Amino acid sequence: MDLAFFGLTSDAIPLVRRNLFKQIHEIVFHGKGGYSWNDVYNMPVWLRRFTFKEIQGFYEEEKAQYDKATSKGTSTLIDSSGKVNKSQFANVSPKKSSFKTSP
Amino acid sequence: MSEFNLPTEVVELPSKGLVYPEGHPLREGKIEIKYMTAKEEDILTNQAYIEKGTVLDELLKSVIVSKINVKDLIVGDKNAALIATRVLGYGKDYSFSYLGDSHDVDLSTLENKEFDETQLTEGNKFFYTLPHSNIDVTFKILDGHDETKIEKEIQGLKKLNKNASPELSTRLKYIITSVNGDNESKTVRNFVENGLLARDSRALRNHLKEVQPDVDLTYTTDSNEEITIPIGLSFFWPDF
Repeated sequence: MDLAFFGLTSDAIPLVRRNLFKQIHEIVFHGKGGYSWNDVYNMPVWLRRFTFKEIQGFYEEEKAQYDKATSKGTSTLIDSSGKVNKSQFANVSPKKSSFKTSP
Repeated sequence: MSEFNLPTEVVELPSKGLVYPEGHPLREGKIEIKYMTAKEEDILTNQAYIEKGTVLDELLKSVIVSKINVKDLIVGDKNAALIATRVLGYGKDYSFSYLGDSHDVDLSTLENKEFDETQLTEGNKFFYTLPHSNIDVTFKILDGHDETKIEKEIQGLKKLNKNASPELSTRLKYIITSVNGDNESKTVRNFVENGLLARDSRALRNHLKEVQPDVDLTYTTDSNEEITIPIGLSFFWPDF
């Protein structure tokens, strides 16, 4: 078949190499100490790509959870005009005081 | 340094090993290949290898586990090893563009061409009678060592004469191994330069293409057109 291999052009090589080593770095850096650089370098390509996607998915999920949690907190007790948001205040206020005073 | 000790895969060679001498490790007709890692991607992006044209040989040296010299491989067997390497590295799905349309191929379904081993007289030696001059020749299928010699010879000839295009005749001098039973290199060279008819040369090349063991890269488009699957950038860079 005369396997004509169309290699990368010299313009594209630095970009591809950067992406390769960035992916290795991301796995090592965000892998919570589970992977050394050599581990990832010697991983089969399919396994490295799978691991990267899993880690990426984990952090995306974590970010989504964080955004969700922090977006709840944005309903502030005091609005921009300085007035107290009564309903929010009621939600977060304890129903009964745990502090008891002697009669 | 920790290394993954993952299983390797065995690749059946299109030549079934029959073109290699008895006792040669390739004579078994199969080679063992490991999965591609970042090391191999590093090789594929090595500018020096790309410029020298040795990038695929270096890749195969790195992935082939069997104790062989990559240069011993004939081109069809090398193609089979490269396709297997691609499938193990990036999966079986390959997309290519032809006349503006996108086509998807499952590389794992590609089969080796039928290899008629009765054509072999001994080792890597085929017999053929040139149809127009009726001259009997024997020829062989080139391996990596031959390709290197051809490349050097062509470079030398081009230095002597910049306008020369000696590619085809030089290649034929290496392909043809005897003329009417005479296997002297001088005789073969003299025959290619002065005695080989253009029609016979064409017939021989067509015959070689027919008998040469290789992977069958024929693909039929929706309009029933048979084409050879083009190997483009996305073969080793599917995300590019």
